[in-house]
Amino acid sequence: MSVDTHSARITLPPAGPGALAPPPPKRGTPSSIGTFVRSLPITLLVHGLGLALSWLLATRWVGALEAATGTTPTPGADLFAGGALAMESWRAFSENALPNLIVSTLGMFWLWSLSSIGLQVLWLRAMTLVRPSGIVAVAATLGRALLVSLALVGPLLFSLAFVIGLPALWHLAFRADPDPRWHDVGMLACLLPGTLLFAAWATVKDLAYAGVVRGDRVMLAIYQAWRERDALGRYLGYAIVGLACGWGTLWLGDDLSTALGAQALLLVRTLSRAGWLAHATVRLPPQD
Amino acid sequence: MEHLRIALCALVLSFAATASADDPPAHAYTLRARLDPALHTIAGQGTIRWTNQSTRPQRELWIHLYLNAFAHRRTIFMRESGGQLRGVRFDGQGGIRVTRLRWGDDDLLEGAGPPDAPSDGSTPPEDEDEAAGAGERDETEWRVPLPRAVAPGESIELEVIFESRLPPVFARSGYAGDFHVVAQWFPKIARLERDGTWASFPYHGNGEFYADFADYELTVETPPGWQVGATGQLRSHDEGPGRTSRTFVAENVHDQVFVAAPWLQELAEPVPAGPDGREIAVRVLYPPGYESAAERHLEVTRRGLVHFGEMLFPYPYEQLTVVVPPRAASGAAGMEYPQLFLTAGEWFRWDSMPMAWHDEVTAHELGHQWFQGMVATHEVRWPMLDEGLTEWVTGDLMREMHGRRRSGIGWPFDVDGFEIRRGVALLGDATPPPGTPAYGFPDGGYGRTIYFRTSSVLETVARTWGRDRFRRALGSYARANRFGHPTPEDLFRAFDAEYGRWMSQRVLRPALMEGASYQRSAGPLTHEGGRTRVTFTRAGELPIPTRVRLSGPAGETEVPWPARQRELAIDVEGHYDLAQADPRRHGLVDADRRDDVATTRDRRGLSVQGIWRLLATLFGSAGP
Repeated sequence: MSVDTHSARITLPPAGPGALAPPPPKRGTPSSIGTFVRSLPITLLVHGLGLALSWLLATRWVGALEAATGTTPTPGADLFAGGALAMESWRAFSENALPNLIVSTLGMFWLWSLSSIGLQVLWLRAMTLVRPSGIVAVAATLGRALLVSLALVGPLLFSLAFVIGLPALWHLAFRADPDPRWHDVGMLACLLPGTLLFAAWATVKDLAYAGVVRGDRVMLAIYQAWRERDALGRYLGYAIVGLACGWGTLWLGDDLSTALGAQALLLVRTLSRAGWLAHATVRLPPQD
Repeated sequence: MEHLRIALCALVLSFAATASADDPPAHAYTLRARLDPALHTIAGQGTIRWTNQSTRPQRELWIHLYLNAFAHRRTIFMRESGGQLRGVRFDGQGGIRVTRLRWGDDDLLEGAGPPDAPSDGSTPPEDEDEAAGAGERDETEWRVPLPRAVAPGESIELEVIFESRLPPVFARSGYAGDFHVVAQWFPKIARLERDGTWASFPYHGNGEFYADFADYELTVETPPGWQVGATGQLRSHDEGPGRTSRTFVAENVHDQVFVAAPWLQELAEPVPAGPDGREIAVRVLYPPGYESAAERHLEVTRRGLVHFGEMLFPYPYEQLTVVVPPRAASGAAGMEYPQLFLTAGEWFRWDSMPMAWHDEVTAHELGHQWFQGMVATHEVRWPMLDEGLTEWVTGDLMREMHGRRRSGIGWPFDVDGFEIRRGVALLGDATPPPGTPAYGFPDGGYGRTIYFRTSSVLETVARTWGRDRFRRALGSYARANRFGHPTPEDLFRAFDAEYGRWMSQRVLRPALMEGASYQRSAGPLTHEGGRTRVTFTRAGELPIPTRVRLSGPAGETEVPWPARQRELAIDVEGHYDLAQADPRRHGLVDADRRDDVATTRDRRGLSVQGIWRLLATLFGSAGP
């Protein structure tokens, strides 16, 4: 109700269906905590799978490096001082082991990225209360998730074109300028729109996955995800925390306490991802 | 009769050598260059004074027209370099056209032209498209017949008019936008050796310098407001209508270049040349935005002038110009000329990365002021005396400035610069020894052999027999050949004077000229009756002494391994579980150090943690 002070008329709210209905409940935060907690077992499973795969590959890399260093008992001790892990070790490593390691690592990476669609569907199912059940339903959900991915390939390429294209255009425009600062700062600034576009794409994709997991049709899920694209800020928050934790571990040392700290940070990285997916699950509008 | 003629010539030359300071120089170039920045051409004219300093009359001259290296894709330079330098590719033609070359009334252009084959006997790589290039010859050197012989000691004066066209810069000379590096841009007479043979050579992919010292006077005309850096002192600066002209004068240099652009900034400072208190006017010319980097280049130059001045001899000229090229002209970066060099590096600083950032290139190009700038060796025939010695003094300066452990890459990695050089020298397949001519690397490996293997050999000598001693030997070589044209024999002679004849006979000559190797390895370490036994063996020809360090529960001790012993059998009281040859890493010529250690310790492997974390982070980023 509002009051027109000039005419002192009273304006009543319009009558009709829903006119006196309570405002819609605020979505997101309150119930996402429960969702997050509910999914903890599968969160830990995803975390463990990633770590196990990484460990498997890491031991192969280290074994090959050690084999290339000869008899020295401390192959890593004076890497840069020209010690055993200097150029001759690198040559032996690159000639004997490196090609196979690169192939197996890239292969694993590709398989992991491919399987991540299925894992994310399982992860989101664990968070979603109302969902189709049964093997057929799960398979159908996975199929719809794949269709979502296919439908979003175009926007993905569009965002990647921005990530690469805008700095490239800037470079072409300013490469001949004798003062390189304008070129360099501009290049960095040009990365921002594409990165934001990519983040928006990832936000919509996750929301659309959450939609198909609860049973929405593909196009409806994408449409609703697009309408909720203002979740980008929340997505960025979780993503930045996750990336900071993940890449931050690389700065830690190798002793036991820092090794444990690194594992804790990696876990926080996974939990951060779980937090975002939980938010995505509750963010969607109720089904009709 | 022949002997009598030679004796007479020697007599004439000895008189020439004692000529007074008022006498005209033996060689002199007086040049005028008008730069057209739109066409990137230089209209040049001037006179060249040349003296036959050999013992034989000369009926011909050999002239270098090196800008013709960029005339087409079939020049020797293009074939040897593959039309690229450090990843920058040939992208437009350049060249030099001589329209007038007269000696008095005689037109020397009649009968002048390129030789049928390179005059230095080199064999250029096959031309894959010979038919397409019919008629396209290498014209970087010309033989110019003279109408009459020039007697020993006689001087002649040539009048020359020419036009030089700069290519888009990809290899040293050229332009990028309105930045012009005008190098190898005028007709230059090749060096005539004392015995009367011409030391001419075409412009090779890996070598260009060997010339007589001469006096140069260069007048450069540019549009108004342009900045110019050049070899020589600025003697006059006139602002005319529509043109600015500057005259630079340089005495006793073997080349002259200039750099011009409208936006070049200048940082100028007098820098002490050494303990005598004399000051050198150092100018750093740089693009806008490079202010902080220019400060660093100046600092490295300041440190280098003192360090090289003390070790070799003080920089004798009164000025030095350091040019920081813009990014678009990276093909011109890292190039040395007398009294001027082009360095490299970004506009922002990273001082703890000497080999990857500003310091290394500036130090290296500054080092060239001595090793071939003033100790003017034949760069094509003996590139190791030029690039190899310069690379060593560069590493030595980096060591002085940053300390041994951080002389390559500093915090947080701490990499010894000479270890990087050794590592690069080991890359790839085997190459000919460092004493090979510049054109002797058709399958590649010039850089890692000439720069890095040479400097690794020299650093091994410095570390094994003492750095001060090494600096004394190198200094005496430099001083003895100041403004001379030495060969490897002169270098070996200087080192023999410091160390004894064995140094050249058993170390330097085998390592540098013959490609001798050095390889040590450890046998198994055994324990019996409270004693430790291990045997080390040395393969290869180089007799380099070292030490073996034993460590373990019995403590730590070192055993000398003299040069004369190919095998060292150690049998000592006490329990040592680790024996390591050359623990201080003095020997940079050992091609494989992985077998330098014998141990019974459990292998303390590489930590999986770091690699695991990296992979886990990657997989986490790409995961569900």
